Amino acid sequence: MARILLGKIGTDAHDTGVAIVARWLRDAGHEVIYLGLYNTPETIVAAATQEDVRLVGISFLGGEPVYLSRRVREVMRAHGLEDVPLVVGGVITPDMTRELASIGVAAVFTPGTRREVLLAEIASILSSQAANT
Amino acid sequence: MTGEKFFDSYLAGERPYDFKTLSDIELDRVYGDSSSELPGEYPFTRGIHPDMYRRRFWTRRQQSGFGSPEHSNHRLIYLLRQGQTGLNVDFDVATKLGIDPDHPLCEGDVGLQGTSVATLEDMERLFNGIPVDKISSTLIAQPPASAVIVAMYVLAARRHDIPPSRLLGTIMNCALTQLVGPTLAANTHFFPIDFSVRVGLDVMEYCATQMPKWNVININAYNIRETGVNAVQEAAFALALASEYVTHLIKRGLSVDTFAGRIGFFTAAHIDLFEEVAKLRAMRRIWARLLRERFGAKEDRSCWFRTAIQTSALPLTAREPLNNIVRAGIQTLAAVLGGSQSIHTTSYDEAFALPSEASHRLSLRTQQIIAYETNVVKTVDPLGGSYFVEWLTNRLEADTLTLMDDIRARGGFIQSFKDGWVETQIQKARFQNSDRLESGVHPVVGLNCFQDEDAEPPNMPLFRIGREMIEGRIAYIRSYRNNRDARALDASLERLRRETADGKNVMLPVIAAVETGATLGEICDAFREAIGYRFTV
Repeated sequence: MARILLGKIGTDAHDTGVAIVARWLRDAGHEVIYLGLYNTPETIVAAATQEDVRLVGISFLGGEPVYLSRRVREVMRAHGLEDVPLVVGGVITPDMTRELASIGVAAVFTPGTRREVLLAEIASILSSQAANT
Repeated sequence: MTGEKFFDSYLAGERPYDFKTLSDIELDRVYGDSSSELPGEYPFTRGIHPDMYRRRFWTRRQQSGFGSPEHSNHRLIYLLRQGQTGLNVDFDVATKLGIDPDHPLCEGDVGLQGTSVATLEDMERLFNGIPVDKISSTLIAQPPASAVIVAMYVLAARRHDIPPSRLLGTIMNCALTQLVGPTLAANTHFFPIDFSVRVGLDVMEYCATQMPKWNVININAYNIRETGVNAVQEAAFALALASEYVTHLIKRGLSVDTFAGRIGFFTAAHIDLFEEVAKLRAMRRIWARLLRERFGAKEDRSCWFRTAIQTSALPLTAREPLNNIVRAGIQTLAAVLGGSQSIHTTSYDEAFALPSEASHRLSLRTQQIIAYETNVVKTVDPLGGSYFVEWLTNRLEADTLTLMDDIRARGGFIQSFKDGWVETQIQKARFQNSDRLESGVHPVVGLNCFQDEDAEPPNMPLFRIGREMIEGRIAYIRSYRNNRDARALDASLERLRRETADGKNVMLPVIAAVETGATLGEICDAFREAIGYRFTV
């Protein structure tokens, strides 16, 4: 079980999805640090560093998920967190999903993702990460 | 259709050209027996007008807005050409929150959930070529940004010699429900809630006295519902909040009949067709009684529950998105059978992006097919008298009134929001919905039943706009700030800070500030300075 940071970046305030994911992860035994709304890539990474998390998840509706995810990855790299997996959720097109994969996002969860699928994917990402460190 | 004729047709309205079924059976205006209520008669259960769609169809009012004002202007004109009959302009979240496009928080968002507007010339470009005294426009913004949006709209119209008294439309203007519904974090970060409520009332007061054809607020019950609460909660929260605004305006010295007819609602049409029809009938009855019995409204018009409707996005899926066309069609039918004044049919690609031109057009066609082909418009409140629908209407009315009484006992909706009670209801509802979806108790075709694992996602054109749009807006606002008379601007912002701090109605100093070239962000910063509030990023 792991420490996981979740939050939203930018001005979007639609948080039903991320609130439910936070609860799923907690019920599965993870420790979730929920940063809520109105964060920047910098505040997300500062908290990830401070809380020493093993995975970061960010959630989007509208907004530019690819641009912002790339920014988060850059800031993470600048703070030595390049090995911490980044997952993304929200209203994301198939094209964007492909682009996110190419910038190193570990998983993308779109609306309607089932709980068991999400938990299994996160578990798999965490165990690969553990195996690699 | 071109030019004047095009916009005159909005004012003329559309209606069926006869009242016959497909088999030539002539239909009456309304059906019932001697004990039935009648549409157009208090308490308006069966409809606020006696003839409803026999006289005039609901307004086709699809929301739109993205990118720069120029981008959005093109889409507005496109929608009008495709048969949209009212405009519905959504602003991006930065605009709604009162921050300019170059603020670091919105670097990834500008122009992406709505149109980016920060200046008066932005507003002029947005409505370029659109006669705002001939077609009504809904402007989606909440206080305090709504004060700036109204000021810009009024000034832009004045430049075309249209006075405020001739403007048609609505400012959404609700401090608690307009952003994403009444969640605490969303609505209390950028301004204290009391300040937002106060500015909202300032805007309502200004519009009620200066703009007789303008709606001063829409309570956004749609957003309330989209948080996951049920139909009773949607109705009770919306009506409780609305009645609080009425109380506040009366406290400010306005008589109820001078503004109540300019209060509107924006409700959801979910997919339980009969429940949604009954909910609307119940809300009409409750609102009418509230206005007459509690607030003493004399005019019938003050008692009308007038609502715009959006088909709820909650039932729509990312899996097998074409199924959403069916869902939205049924939901649109519910809105029509429920007697809505205007409808936005959510596009089938809702789970992926803003509507493309194609999906936007299909939404319009959905409404046009119902209006022109199905004949459901040819008699008023066709489901009235159904044993089931009358029973369900009464039941929803009773449950809603019980919840409204509960909210009142807690000190009202705004107090309940501040106390975290509303937040608790929302979190409970969200988790319950999620559990029901996971367990299959709540079936969703293609998602937790009848899934086709091999189904290829359809090849749909999806809306996407390039990064250059955001960079363009950032460049624009930076260069804009360098081209103004700094002294006049500073003086107007100083006046705004002073009058805000003194508790005066903010509209006149906001209008003056916009006239000296202040941006939306600068005005909202001045608000915060006046009340000594800062937000952290």
